[in-house]
Amino acid sequence: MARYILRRLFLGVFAVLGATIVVFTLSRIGGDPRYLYVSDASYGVDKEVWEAWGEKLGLDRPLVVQYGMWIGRAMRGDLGNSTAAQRPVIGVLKEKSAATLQIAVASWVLSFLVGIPLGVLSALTRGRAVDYAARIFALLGQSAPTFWLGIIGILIFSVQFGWLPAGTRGEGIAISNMVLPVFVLGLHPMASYLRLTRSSMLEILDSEYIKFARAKGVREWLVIWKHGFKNAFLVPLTFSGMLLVHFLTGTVVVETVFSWPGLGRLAIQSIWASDFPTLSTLVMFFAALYVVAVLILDILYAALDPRIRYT
Amino acid sequence: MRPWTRGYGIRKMSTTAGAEGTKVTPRLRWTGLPRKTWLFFRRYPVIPMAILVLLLVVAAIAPWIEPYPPLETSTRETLVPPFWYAEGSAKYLLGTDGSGRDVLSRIIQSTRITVAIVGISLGISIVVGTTLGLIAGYYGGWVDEVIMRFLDMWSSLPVLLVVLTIVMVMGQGFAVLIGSLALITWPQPVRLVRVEALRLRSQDYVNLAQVAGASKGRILYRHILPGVVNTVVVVATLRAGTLILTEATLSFLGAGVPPPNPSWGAMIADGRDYIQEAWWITVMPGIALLLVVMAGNFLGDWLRDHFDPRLRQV
Repeated sequence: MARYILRRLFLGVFAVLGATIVVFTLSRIGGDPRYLYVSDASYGVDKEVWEAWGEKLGLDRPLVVQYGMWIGRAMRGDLGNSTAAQRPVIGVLKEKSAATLQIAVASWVLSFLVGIPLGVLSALTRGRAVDYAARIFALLGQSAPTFWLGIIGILIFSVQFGWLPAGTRGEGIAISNMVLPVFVLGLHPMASYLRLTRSSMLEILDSEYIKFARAKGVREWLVIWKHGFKNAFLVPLTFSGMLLVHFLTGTVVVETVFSWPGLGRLAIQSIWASDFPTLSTLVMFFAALYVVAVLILDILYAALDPRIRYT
Repeated sequence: MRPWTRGYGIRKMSTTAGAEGTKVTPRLRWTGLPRKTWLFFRRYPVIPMAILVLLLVVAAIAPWIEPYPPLETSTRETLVPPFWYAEGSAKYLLGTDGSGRDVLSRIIQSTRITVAIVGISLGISIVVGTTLGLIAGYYGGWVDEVIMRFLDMWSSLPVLLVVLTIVMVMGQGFAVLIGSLALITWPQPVRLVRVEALRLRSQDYVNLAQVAGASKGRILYRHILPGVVNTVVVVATLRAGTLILTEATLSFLGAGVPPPNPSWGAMIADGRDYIQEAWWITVMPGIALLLVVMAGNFLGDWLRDHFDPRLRQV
């Protein structure tokens, strides 16, 4: 087990390093980073100032050294200054992450609590009206464009009926402000959980040991939940990592639609402000988050399923 | 357990005549043509196929069926509602947007653009993904390790943000968009094709081909590739829907199809400003998008269930 965790940890570090290389490459494809500080409309800068900047930023050194310097600074928590906010990126990130966490956690809980029971229900009523309804819901949830759904939600619940606010976070933890973003963000993962649970549950319920449990007279309720669901549950659990990607992309869209002041909206704003330091930090932050989540899930999976060989 | 045998509806009543005075229970069931039609629709994905064929046809003949040039603006006829409204007119079936452009024409034109972009990027990613998957699965060893570790690294990237960064750095354009979409899509075929190639590698007929002196390239191309075609087709169909969604999302965020070209995502973004007075600008392209993505996903599921049931539902 320890060796397994160690190997996964090593691969995780490798993945995050890869992400930094991608970001660094992108920063250099974009041309000389000094142009970030010189706007097109200005008078430009002296050659001497230009050279001084180059020396300060280490642009006269080879690319590998530049990458090393950048990584070294990043490890010490210095990710540069946001060119839009004129202060350290880390500070901006800390400020915005709570808002994103708020809706991301809420919609994950929602999708988990709705998607998985619906999946079990759909598997148990296979071929009947309930199953059809659940499957249509899953298909809709996976096909509906998040941003469009958000706008439709605003159109119906804010413009038409005026029940819910059309956006913004509100004061403190405002539930009415959260309802629309959380539901819109959670719909896609909800549909994915439903489908995964359904297919895995159907597979398990078809197996020999379930038939045996029934034959020996175990109560149906126990067969479904103890023998069936306990095993079927591992599949949606392992796919949670992949669903996390949907959350990360989803927050960008949902926060844009609902003017939610979180990391996703920050990413979009930094694109329009050409704020490369902020954007690159966000890319690395999300990559690291994903790697950590997948690592935890892998270890959890190995701990829950004794059949897994630790390779 | 099958819904149609329990009989909803008003078909032939086979009355079981009871004794005089007892209540006759009519047994209703589908028979004849309606039942056959229902079975046919249940068995084959007719409606999704029809939607996708319509999509391709519209994309192919778009310039000839657009009622108006999609970029033509009008200063007088802005925000005209669809034809069924009293203020609407048959001139603009789905109304006009804030610049007086015909919504229907713009939807038709974006169909063409979307199909072209998604088609090309899907083609690139499938070819690259399949090739890498075949190589990784067939050669194994360190080649496999390198490809798969790179894939792991790539999958951990928040692709949407990376693509947005690429667009910020390189500017908006069709080439950048197609490249970005291909970058997002290529990993999935690699994983699935690799597993198939691993399985086929140890089959007898592959070993026999090797004994007969076939080169590695020939074995890959003639003996392994045909075996993974099913997987590739299923993956391609399933990815098509996701790609269309991603393209629309990018266009919505302003990093997709370069303006002033119409695109479903960008149209929805434009419509946000008029959501109070002109819902159709937002809703209409969204319906087109939803129908196409649903049709793609449904067809993909169907193909997988029939040709490659080993693939797991996600």
